[in-house]
Amino acid sequence: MAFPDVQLSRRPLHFIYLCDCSGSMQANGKMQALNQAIRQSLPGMAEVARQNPEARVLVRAVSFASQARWHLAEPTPVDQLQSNWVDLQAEGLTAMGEALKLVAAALRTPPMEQRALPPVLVLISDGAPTDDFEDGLRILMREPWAQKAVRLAIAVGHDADLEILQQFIGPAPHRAAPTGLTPTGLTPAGPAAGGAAAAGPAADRRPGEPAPRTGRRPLQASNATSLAQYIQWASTAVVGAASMPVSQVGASSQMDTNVPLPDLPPTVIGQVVW
Amino acid sequence: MSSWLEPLCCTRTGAAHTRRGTPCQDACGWLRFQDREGAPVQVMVVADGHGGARYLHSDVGSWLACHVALGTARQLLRAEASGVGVATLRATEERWQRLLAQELPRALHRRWLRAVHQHWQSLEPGEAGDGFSPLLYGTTLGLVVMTPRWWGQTGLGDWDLVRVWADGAQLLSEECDDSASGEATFSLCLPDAAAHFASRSAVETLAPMAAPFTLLLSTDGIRKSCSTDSDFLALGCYLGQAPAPVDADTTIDLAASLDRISSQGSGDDVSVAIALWRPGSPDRPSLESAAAQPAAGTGSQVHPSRPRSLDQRRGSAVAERDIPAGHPEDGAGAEASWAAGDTPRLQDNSAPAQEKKAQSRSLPRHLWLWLAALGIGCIGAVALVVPEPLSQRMRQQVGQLCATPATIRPLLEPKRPTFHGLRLGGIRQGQLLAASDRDPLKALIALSYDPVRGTLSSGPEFQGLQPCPQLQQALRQLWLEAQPPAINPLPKPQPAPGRATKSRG
Repeated sequence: MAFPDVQLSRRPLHFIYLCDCSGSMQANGKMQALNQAIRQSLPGMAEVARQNPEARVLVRAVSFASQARWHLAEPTPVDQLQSNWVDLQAEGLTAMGEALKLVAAALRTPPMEQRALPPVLVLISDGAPTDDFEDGLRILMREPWAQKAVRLAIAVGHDADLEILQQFIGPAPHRAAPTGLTPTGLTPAGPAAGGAAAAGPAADRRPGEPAPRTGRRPLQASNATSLAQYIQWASTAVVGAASMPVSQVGASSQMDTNVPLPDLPPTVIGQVVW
Repeated sequence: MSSWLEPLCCTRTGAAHTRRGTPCQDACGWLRFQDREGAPVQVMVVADGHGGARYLHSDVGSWLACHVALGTARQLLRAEASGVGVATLRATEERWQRLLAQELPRALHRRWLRAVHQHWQSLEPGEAGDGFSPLLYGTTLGLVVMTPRWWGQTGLGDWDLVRVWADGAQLLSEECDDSASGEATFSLCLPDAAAHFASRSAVETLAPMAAPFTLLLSTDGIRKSCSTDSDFLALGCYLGQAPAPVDADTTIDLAASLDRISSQGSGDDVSVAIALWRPGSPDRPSLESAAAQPAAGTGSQVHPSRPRSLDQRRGSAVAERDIPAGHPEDGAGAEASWAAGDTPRLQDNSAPAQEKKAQSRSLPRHLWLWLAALGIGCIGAVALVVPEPLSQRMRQQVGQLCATPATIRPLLEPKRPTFHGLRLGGIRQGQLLAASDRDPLKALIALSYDPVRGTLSSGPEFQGLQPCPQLQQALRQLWLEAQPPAINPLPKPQPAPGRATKSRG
């Protein structure tokens, strides 16, 4: 009996940027730095995709200013994107809630595939929403794929509304980070710190018990270098982790992320520009 | 009376795991025995270890899950009546439903916890990590029980069960996707794991004149390789229509199909356990006919995928061994009481080369030669090269033991975890030999192990030490008591060029 004509497929991994393109992003070269960071991250993301052929890494981007719209509407294989990325332009307000609704529609099944890997959503913003963010978030989080997604947030500068970004990515850490914040607002990455998934003191753990994952905080970029670093991390390390998911124990207090997040790279303490 | 044909099980290392050199996390197996009234019962299982750093030993966890589940199922269910020849089938079914949903899960979870703890204790300090946690061994488990009058299922996690008829397939059981996590699943490592079996437990009566069907139990790697559930069911129809009798070509085709599914799909490890039911008497030796044969001989270690004559089956059963004195009646220990005719067939593609060699103990030499001729499997003798200083230390150790034979057994007894660790692959011979200065007795145990036959070595490295009969007898007995169930690896197709056949690492 011949092998049947069934559609076997590598599991798609949808990576979606939600980029703040409000007028404030024009200040101090933030928009330019964001475009450059995304461009620079694409070869690394393509390499990660090549190393994980069982996942089809597909990139999309939403820009939001006075209105939200798909900047890159078609799920695009990352290797096709490197020469085709069109720069984002900044002007207008901050329709972040509307952007979340756009993404919510894209995460419905269909068009989302039944067998997709948990999507990666990266929200980048330098300010506060000017529309109904809560409504957008509510609509987004009604979608199972949004609940399953790895949701990251990058605050560009210190004017970003961290509370809003925290709502997007989920519950904040239960405990304070073990060390003080760097000028970029990040805990230095390390085996215990875990960057975006800060861990509590090892002394509280029983032998053999993995480090507790106590939630994540928005990444806070205060200059072009750190912004590029976080985007690079999201598009390579996180994509790599999401490309080869391991099962996680359901109903476990150990689990707060759908994909175990890799550590952030060591943070370069640079000048606070934004 | 209706009959179930002998299940066909296969586990293949996923394409992604092969490429990355990471261990296979899947395992599967099956077991047959008779219930209290002599009716034949079959059990088949699949398990999928979670993988990843958090679940460091989940490859062992899945293997032990299959091992323990089969043993526990046998121990509990053989004391029951499956309903053949009784009028109150409904009451019997209710009893079995309760057993599958509650009693079996509790017992096997308890035993699995003990087994993984025992494995962890057998690890060297460098491998054991900070401390023991069942999380390290996290795994799913799916189990199907088959009797002449009914069949049942239980388990927890993201396995799937499909029924295939001549004209279609139906997804009978899947894990409810009510979690906010894309890859979350229930696991044996949860403290309340036994409670999660109930929702996946069911018993179904077999109508005497019903159409034949096949049950296909699979780990999630297969379903996640398919674009849609329709594709998955179409694939189930294909896999579930393996010809009967099963022959070597069938198993090679199945392995090749699973490799194709993984490489073109999710890249995950893939496992299936397939069982065909049909009314009336079977064409080939069925469970029933095999079970009716008297017990004699020791020829049970025939490759499960090869057709076996009744004579071979007749030779497959031996008198049941008692649990060795002092042997813990849990985990692997419980299975020591199995009759050889009830030997579970654990199919596990995850063993490293050395462990594969250990698995080869279950096959007669002519079969290994046959497999070798096909270029199948990781087989062959282990050539241990023992450096002279080490050999001298071993001689000293042997001399000390044999000078006072009464001390041999008391000195070896506490080393049981070492025997189990070597058998399970958690401990490598080379590690113990390299540490002979620190623990020459463990090194001697390692040297006495023949991973090909899974028993006391008759090779020159060990025999050259001229061990006294009392030492040989004690070691032989302890290797026997450490013996896990027979493992019958399916023949592998020739690896594709450039693709290593990766096993448990």
